[in-house]
Amino acid sequence: MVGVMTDRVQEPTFLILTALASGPQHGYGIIKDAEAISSGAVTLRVGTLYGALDRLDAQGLVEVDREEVVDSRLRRYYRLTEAGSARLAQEAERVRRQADAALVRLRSAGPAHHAPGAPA
Amino acid sequence: MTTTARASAKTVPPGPTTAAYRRLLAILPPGYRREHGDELLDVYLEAAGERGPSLVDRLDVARLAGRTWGRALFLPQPQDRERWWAGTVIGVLGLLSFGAGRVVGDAVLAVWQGIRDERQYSGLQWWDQSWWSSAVDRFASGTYAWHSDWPVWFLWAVALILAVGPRRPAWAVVPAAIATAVTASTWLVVVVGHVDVDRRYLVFAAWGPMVRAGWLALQVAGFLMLVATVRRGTFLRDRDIRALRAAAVVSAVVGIATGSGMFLAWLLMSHDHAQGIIQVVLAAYLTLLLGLLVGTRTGRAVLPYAVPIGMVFVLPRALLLRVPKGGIAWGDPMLLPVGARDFLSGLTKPLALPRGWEALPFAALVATAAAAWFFGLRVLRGRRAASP
Repeated sequence: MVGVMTDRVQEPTFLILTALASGPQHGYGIIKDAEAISSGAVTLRVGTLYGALDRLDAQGLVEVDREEVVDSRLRRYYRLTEAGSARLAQEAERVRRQADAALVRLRSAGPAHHAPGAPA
Repeated sequence: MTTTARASAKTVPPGPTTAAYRRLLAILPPGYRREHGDELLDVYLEAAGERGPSLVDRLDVARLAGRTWGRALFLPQPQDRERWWAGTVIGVLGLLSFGAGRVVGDAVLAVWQGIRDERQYSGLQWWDQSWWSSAVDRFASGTYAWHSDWPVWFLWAVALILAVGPRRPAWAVVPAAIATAVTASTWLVVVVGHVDVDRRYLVFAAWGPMVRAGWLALQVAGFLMLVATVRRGTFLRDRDIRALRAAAVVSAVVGIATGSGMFLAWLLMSHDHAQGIIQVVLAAYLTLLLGLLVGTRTGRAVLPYAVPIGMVFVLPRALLLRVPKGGIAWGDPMLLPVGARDFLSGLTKPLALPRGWEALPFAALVATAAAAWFFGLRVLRGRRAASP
């Protein structure tokens, strides 16, 4: 691995790592799972997915789990490595802390700062 | 990627949609296609159903192809990447420290000379001989100004000090971005302004002392390094960061000791040996760089990339030597004595091409030589790695 990643991971990468957290998945499975995790807000392109998988593999965060032939088509499954799980946990904790801080401040600021449409 | 259980290749049955996607994926590099082609085909077919590739699919594959071809052609082998990255960051930021050191050192000297002049001619009008006007005239704006591009190098000095320091704030890229943008726009304005004039002077404009294509290339590389390191967090570690600091300090000191203004200081100390002193310092610096490039694993990893960058600096000098001396060497490191410049100038005259054609073949020669070195070395290394 080159250098030390101290910066936050990008959203597509976070979604890919999250999709793999529950177990090995193949490319299309990751795309659908990422869409579901983001409530439809993010649809990964295939090129984006494989660019990110190449990078995550080079950083030792994901690895190939197995290959299968399904309906006469090659399907490769990826899984998180231990380093990948640790990185995802670290990033999730960081996001959670920031979200908590945002909610606490919104609550303390009163109803005027609530989301549009929320009852005053 | 390593696989735990490889299935047989070419498992997808042919069909019009499959064939259309296969044709689309043919633009990927062969190695990447062998590794991921069938897998990508599976994902695209699963997402697309029976329809053929859409425009979005084509753009998506084109983007992936651009990235993977770039990686296949220009990035080193995976086992060398860590050394390559460390060597590239150290080399590029070190050389930029040399450039920044020359300008900052000369600025200090210009101020000192300005103060000395004011004391010497204190009876004259203030606007003629105040220390700052004298210093600015010497340094940046006069007929024989040492560095008209000084703002660029001061910005680089700030960016480099921040980048090699302990905190490395992400905003260190800001002064580097401004400096690179100023250099690039100046270079473009000067070069475009010469396109319809004598093409011989187009080469002079492109590689001339004031704009310097080599320094521009280094600044662009340095800016990208800073974005990747201080902004995106992939900085060097441990021994590499100590090597980076040492390279930056040594290069800056050599730059300070060999600047155009410092030449005058050396003249004051030893009129007969001033130029010789600078040449010895520069030759020792170059020898040290070459030794590190060839003698260390990190250096060898960046060697293919170092030579094309070096060519951008060095080869056009051969052509510039043909232009009457005047201010051509003004501002350049004084590696060659005047006698050697005249000798080389004489050598290049018989090789003269018609003036109007000079810029294009020369640029083609530089590009071809750089490509031959770069890809030739990669092929040789690939064969050596493949042999038992």
